[in-house]
Amino acid sequence: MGTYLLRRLAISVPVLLGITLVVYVVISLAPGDPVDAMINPEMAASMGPGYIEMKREELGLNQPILVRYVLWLKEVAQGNLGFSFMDRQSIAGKIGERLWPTLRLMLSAQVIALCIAVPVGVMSALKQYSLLDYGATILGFAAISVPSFFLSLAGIYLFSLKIPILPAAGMVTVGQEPSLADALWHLVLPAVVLGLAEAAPLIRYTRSSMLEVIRQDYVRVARAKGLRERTVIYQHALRNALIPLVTVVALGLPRLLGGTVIVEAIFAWPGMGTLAITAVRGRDYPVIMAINLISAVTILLSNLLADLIYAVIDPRIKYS
Amino acid sequence: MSQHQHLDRLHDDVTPRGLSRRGFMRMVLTGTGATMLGAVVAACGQQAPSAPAKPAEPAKPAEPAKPAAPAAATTASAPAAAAKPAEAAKPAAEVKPAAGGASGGQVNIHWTKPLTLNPLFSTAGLEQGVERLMFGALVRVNDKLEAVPDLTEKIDVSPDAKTYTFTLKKGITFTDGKPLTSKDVRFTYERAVDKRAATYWRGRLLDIQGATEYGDQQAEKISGLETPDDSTVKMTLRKPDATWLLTIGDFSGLSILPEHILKDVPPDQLAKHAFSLNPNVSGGAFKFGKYETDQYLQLDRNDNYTGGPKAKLDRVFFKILTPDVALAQMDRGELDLMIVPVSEMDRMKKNPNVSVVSVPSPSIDFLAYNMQRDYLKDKRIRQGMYHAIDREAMIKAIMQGEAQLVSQTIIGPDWMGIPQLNDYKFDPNKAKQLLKEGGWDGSHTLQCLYTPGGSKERDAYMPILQQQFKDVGVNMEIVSSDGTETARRRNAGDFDLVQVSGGIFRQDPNVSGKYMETINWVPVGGNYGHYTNTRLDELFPAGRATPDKNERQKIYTEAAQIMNDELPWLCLWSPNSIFAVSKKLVGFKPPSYATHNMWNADEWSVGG
Repeated sequence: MGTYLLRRLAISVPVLLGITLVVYVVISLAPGDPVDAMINPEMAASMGPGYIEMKREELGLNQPILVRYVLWLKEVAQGNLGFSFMDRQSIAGKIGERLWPTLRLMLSAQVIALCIAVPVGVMSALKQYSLLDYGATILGFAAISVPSFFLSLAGIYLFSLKIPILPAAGMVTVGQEPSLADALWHLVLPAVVLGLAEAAPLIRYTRSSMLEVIRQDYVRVARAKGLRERTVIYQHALRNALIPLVTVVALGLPRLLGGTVIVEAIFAWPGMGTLAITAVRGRDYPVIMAINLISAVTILLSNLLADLIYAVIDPRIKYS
Repeated sequence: MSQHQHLDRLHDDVTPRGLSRRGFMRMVLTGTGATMLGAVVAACGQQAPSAPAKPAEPAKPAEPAKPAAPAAATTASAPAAAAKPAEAAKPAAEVKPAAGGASGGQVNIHWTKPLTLNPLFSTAGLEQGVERLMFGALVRVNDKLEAVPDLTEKIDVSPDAKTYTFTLKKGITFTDGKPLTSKDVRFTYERAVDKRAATYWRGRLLDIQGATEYGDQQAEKISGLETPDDSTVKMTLRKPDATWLLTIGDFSGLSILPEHILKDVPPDQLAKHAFSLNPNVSGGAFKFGKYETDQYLQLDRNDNYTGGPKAKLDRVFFKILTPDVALAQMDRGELDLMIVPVSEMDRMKKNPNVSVVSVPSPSIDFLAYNMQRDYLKDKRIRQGMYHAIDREAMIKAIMQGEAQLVSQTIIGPDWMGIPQLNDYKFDPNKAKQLLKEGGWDGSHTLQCLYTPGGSKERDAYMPILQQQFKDVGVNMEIVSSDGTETARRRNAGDFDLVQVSGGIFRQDPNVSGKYMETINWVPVGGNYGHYTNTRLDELFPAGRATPDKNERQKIYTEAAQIMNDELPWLCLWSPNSIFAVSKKLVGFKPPSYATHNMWNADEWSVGG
């Protein structure tokens, strides 16, 4: 197990390098550069003719892409994410203050997704082709098909305007002492929207996995032993059916991270998604790279996590 | 080179500084071709015009009315509907200030995400507006964009408009109790012109004698900036400038920074210093409360304010929201003031708790020609293209009447007026004839740079322009790209036409010079099309150097005639600034420049 872990981590390093290299090259090739984005003609005029070139030089944009990449890598290897081109603030600080809001949203959404997906998936499987099964299928497909920005806006319309019980945006009520209740109240809508989108595929996975398991011999044996149906389902069938789900959930974390970008933008949620969009529009390379690095690490870790948990919960699987 | 002073107004619109939420939403939404919430919410407005707007804050902080406070606020008498543009220029559209007004209460304003709160570095109008509430300045501009004294009790201008002497009010202090003196003014101006600090203000202040030398570290001090005593600041300019007060008073005015807090910060570290997002010592009617990243900014009343009457509100919240969410919050009463796009105006009017006011803005929507293109050089081609488009119909249909036809850029202020010139009425036949005379052979497809998503109205009129040009034989391709790429191509001269919206042309006719003089060619100025006219290059500097308004009017009228004939820009119209104001907000006066909307927040109160 230990060697397996080491080997996996070792493999992750070149993968990570590859990802960052590709991203770096692609964003550098995007039309326009940070100086185009932020240069103010007035500023250019007052700073004299060489100002734009000077600014490019100061930001290191006059060097070839690969040289810039290596320099960036060297800094990152020393734990320095650098400074934002746009507002000259430290990137670690910028990300630090936005990480928790994003995590809060992501984790709540994941919990909501599981709370919906597992019971609904199990019931669909047990009562296959019933009204409930069809209903869950249709709703599931709807939730997958409807983009999250639509759900968000529809949610705001329904629950903040028509039936004004939830806030339209934000993480806390402006001008009020922070309280847990207030924070939860603001969390409901974005987390449910994100959770619904995430729950839909999970319902399908749970259902098919459950269907497969309840036809297995050991379930039949359990029934033949005369165990109560509840024990058969929850002790024997469900536990095995959930094994593939673990993988799906772990692998779904990066997707969830992507989904928060849009939901955050709509709900004015002060997280990393909002930061990412700002950075892309301003061609703020260091910030884009830092966010990409974090996403890439999340993806690689999620994959690793999925494999490890798999080994823990399924004794048949052994890594050596 | 103070002639660059107002370019930022344009660049608020055309460069992508930070996330434009509307832009992002548009990005997401255009994918489906449906602006969902807009449609959904519009439906709501129709179905339930009197939907109860539930107050967001359970209870307003019930500040016990101070004994000294005047009687309770009177209810705002709101205009029934948006005033017509013509009337709106007068205070007809104004929400009546309360007689006295109540002390206390809070107000929520729709705001943008700030990059900085340090007045030396802010480039966005909404940031500068907030800074103006927190800091004091020598002069500031009012709702009509005139420069008025702020922390000064007297401003003496020499007859040749070369020397300006400011006398500070007596006994003024910063929020920490330290006195605000001419030394702080000098410190602020020194930092502002210091090349190492790379401030936004440097360019406009280089007309002070010796500013360039000081900024380049060639001199110990700015020779044209003298502070004989604690309350006197004397500025001597390199050349006469009748518009100087507008230059240093632009919007927030150059706010006075506390020397005792910032004097030890190296100039090149000033921008990233913690003060930039935590300006906790200032000299304005409000003081910094707190900034919650990407959520809101809170300003509290400065109870020790000495620069004038104290503010009435306890605090103001500036909320960072997408426009769609802001509209929803406005409907729910969680927001008291926002700038409203034309497309949402009618829906807002249906809300009984909200007034919608509209006033003419100082900005213009225009297409700038690349004057370096041989095939666009004959002015008859540009005149022909002008006759090809039906601007009056577009104002009616797309702008819902909320814009005024302008055919060149000298459009105010009141003493200047708008010279009556050729309006280039819609006339396709004349257009074809002029194009023919100008030698247009149709062999070029004109590339028009455009950044979509800025507003629904712009997205709507661009294809109409394209079609109407086509009808007279001019093919135009709309090259849509994000702001950064548009800026790159524009600066590189890689275009035939570029669409731009903005500017504060109505403030002073001199503003047009920043876009028309040869010295202002991009990328160092706002002359996008590299236009050159030797007569204009004489007229604009002459206008600046002339204090007499009648003389100036003559000079600028000639400039307007030249621009109206030569048409370096195809001016479409000047759109109105439209605001939604909750009826509980008393004392709001609509400023002509929209992002200047909190300009008199120190006079606001809540009532009703």
